[in-house]
Amino acid sequence: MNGFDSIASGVECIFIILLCIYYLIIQLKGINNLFVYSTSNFWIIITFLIYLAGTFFLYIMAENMIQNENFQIQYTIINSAFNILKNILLSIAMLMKPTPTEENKQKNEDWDDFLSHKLNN
Amino acid sequence: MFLLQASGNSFSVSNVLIFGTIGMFVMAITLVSVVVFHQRRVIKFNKQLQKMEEEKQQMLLKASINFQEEERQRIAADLHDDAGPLLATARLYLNENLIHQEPAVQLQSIFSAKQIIDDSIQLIRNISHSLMPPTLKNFGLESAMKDLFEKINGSGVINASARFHDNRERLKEEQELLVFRVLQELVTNIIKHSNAGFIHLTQNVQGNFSYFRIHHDGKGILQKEFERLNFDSGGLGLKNIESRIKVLKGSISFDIDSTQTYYKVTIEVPKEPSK
Repeated sequence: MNGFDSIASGVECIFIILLCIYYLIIQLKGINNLFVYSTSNFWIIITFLIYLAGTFFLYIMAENMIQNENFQIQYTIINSAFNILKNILLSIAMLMKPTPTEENKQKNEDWDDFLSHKLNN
Repeated sequence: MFLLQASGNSFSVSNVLIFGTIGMFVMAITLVSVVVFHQRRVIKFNKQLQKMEEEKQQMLLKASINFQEEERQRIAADLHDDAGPLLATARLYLNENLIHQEPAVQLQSIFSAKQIIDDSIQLIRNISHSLMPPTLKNFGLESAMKDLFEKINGSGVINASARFHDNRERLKEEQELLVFRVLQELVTNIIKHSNAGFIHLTQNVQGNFSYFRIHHDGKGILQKEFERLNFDSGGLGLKNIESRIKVLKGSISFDIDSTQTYYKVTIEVPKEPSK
């Protein structure tokens, strides 16, 4: 904790948050008939966004305030809460069913045909 | 941050931390919600559009099938009611020949049978011409339209005329047939519903498009009315016009001139010259 670099953490947070916003804007502009929340990518992105937005102030204040006991308690509570939230959201992302692309669909169908052909003979 | 450091007030610092964190969290949640709801709305809108387009396509398809069925029924009726009895009568006369061996009677019945067969030939020719006008195939759209207008003028009720300004290059055969059918339907509608005194057809070429415009002085329809009638369950003719225009990849517009006297129908057809 003593060697915490707030500036590097802050810049990293801002950079990743901006990337997440960029992804969301792309989703807004894109013509896609698939609901955005039905993809695991979306859940991973919002996990990063929410976690880094929530802990942004914590990290930029940590370098100077780490000696403050009150701050340490708050740090533990906020960091743990957002960590739990992050893990829940990541679990949702991992549990999402992958949406098959057209190419994969075709491959699966070919494989099914191959299997049924084998079974028939 | 330096300000916070300088103040050293732990209460205000924890306030900044809590409110800042809550603020950032709310901002992130709002952003995500906006994206999700906006995308849902867009997808819903797209699906609605798609559904409407599908309904329209289905309506056009239904109209074209109905039209085909009507046409088949008409041909069947023509063949059954006119050609059938004529050929049966001719057969009777020829049968007579087998029974009566006297040359005078035989000659008379052969002559009658010949006349009836001539009538049948004429009838079948008429049916064939109504299906595909020979003038259109041999001499092009201009001649076919002039031919049609001549027949209309023959009735003496309405004065129809056509002027083709730039018809050096004929359209493709299929295109000509489609344009002819559309113009024929429009002219029939004008005669049937508008009480017009005259119909005037003009043709022009501008760039890569051929324009056909019909003027008449009767009671016509405007674009909005055309679209409304097109979406109604009736109006088979108008739906056929729409589907043919779609096949032509052209457009049709109904309007009235500035003096509010003459109704105009304009058809725009992309030019595909015949080979």
